[in-house]
Order: sequence, then C-alpha cells, then structure tokens
Amino acid sequence: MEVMPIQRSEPPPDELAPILAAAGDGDEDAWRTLVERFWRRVYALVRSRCGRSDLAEEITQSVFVTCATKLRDGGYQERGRFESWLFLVAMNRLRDELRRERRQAAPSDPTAFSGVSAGRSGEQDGENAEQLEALRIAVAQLPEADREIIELRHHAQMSFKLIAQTLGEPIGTLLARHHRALKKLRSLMENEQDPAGCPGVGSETDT
Amino acid sequence: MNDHTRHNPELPDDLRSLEASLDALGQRARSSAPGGLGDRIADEGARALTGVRPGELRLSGNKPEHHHRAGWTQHWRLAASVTLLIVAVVAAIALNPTAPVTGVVAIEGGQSDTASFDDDWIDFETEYVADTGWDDDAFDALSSELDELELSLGSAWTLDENLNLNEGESL
Repeated sequence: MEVMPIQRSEPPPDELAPILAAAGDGDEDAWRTLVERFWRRVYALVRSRCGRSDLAEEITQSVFVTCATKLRDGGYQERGRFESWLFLVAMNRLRDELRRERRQAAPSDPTAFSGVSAGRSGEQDGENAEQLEALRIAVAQLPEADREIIELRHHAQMSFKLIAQTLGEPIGTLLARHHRALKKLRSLMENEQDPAGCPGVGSETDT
Repeated sequence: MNDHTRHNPELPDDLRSLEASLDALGQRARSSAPGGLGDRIADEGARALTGVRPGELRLSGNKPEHHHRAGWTQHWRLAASVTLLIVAVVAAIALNPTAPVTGVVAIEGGQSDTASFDDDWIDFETEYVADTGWDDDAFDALSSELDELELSLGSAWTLDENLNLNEGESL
C-alpha cells in the first residue's frame, strides 16, 4: 500500500485564541470558523467508534453544542488546549452513549456500516478499497485502549502530544500503545488473508 | 511541529505502511461525513452561543420542533425524584417500627399504646432480644416459666408506667 504521510492538524494556540474569544462573545463567524476546522475530525472519530452514521451525527452535533454553551458561559478557559478539550468532550459523550447502547443490549457488528466507503470506491482502486475495509474491520476488533489511540491518531488526526493531553497519559506510554496496536492490527490483517490460520477478522464478535 | 506530531518514532519500517493505511482510513471516514452536517452543527452551535438554553437542545438538535420534550423530561425527573423520596420515607418507617411486633403485643395484652412503654420495649428488644438472638419461641418459653412463678413478662414496665396493674397480675 502506498505510504501517504499526513500532516497532523495542530494550529498554534495563539492562532486559535482570538477565534475562541470572539466565539465566546457570540461572534457567529468565529464560531463557524471553529466548526469548519474541527467538525469532520470529530465526526470521523465518533463514526468509527460508534459504527452508526445517524448516531455519529447526533453525537457530533451534541459535542459542538456543548462547546458553544461552555464558550458562552465561560466554562472553557483558554489555555491553548482547545483541541484536546474538544476531543475530550467527544470521548466522554461517546462513552456515555456507548454505555447507554450497551444497556439496551444492541451488540455492534464490526462488519457493519461499510457504507463509509459507499460512493467512494470509484475514487480508489478496488484492491485498495478492499484493504481499507479489511483494516476498518480489524480496527473494530482491537481492545478498547488500542482502538482508542488508533482512532484518535488516525481518524481525529491528533498529534501524540494532544492525545496525551486528552487522555492524561504520558506520551511514551501512548507511543508504546500505538506501536502495540499496529502490531495487533498487522496480525489481524494477516489472519484475515489466511483465515485457516486463525479466526477473527471475519467473525462478527464484538470487542 | 516535532516528530511526535507526525509519526510514531518507535515504529519499525514494516509498520509505517500500516500507519499510512490507517491515515487513509481516517481520511475516508472524514470524507464520508454528510455534506450538510457541518452547517447544521454551526447553526445549532450559533443558537447555543446566542442564548438558547442548553436544556432546550436535544441530542439530535436539528429538530427544534421537539424542544418541549426537554421540559417534559425535567418534569418526569422531578416526579420520579419525589416518588423515590416518598418510597424511601415509607421504607424507613417500615424498617424502624415504633411499636413491638404483633406477636409480642399479644403477650403484652394491648398495652403498647403509650409512648413510654414503646420506648422501654424498644430498649428491651435492643438490649436483650437483638443481642441474644431471641425469638418468639424464646419469649413463649420465658412467658410460661414466668406464669409458673405467677409473674408477668411485662410486669416491670406496666408497674413503672402505672397502668393499674399489680405485680404478679397476668396480662
């Protein structure tokens, strides 16, 4: 697969600070700038975690409404950590929602919501799309902590520094966990290519 | 931007292609977001910024016609809280009776209607019954023995409370 290095989004705090201040004062343009900068990343994280587009839309919308309310009421104090705070709100909302879903006994299916690729496969060659789909299923089978860092890193496009701020863990721990998660993913992908070797990727067990 | 913001420096080369594939997967997820969602988020957030109370926004905040549900939710929560409080009070009363249990009242011959007697009886229960694990059978046995001695089980208290009973008089 072709290597495509991606720049992590981490706007300098001094660039974001005046936008946040203006948004907190009710400046709609500033607010829309914030939304435009972050909403797709929040959505991608939430969508990957919850596996449903409708729920992902609701949660994403709710996260930003919470942020707007906090900005308006002074519940967020600008210390150059808006991005990690935003994703912390998203993670907390996700956990609440997933806990509620589990109580309602609706097991998720890691093979579900393949609609993510619907309409997009034409933009990619078939083999690549197939590999990405297998990778998505493998990610869904990772243990919770491993899956969390993979999705924060690659779906939310967060730097390790920001992930460390969000999760409150040392960056070295996160780097090691990311490394371990990649090895597990590679193993899952290899097993998927050789199903006789080990069941797993093709199964519908929830993780 | 340091190395930590771009690649995991601990990764061996053979995992870097997998990391790149994950980046592509993330890109696909971001691209899959519905086109109008960004506008809806911005609109809802702008409303929140300009004064719509948070409680009036549902999780699916793009449906303002349902805002009244939040108010009803609060009413139901209040009603549930009051109900729980009432249940807790009733349960507390039931678990902390102010009169002796029925079987014992029968022995006492209906003399349990004075507050002082009740207090004494509770003290007796606490000190002699609860600590020793006595039950109704034990009381029956003791009562029989006292009858043989022409004493009443409740005589000590009935005399103290001046209930017009003489010592030795059966209840």
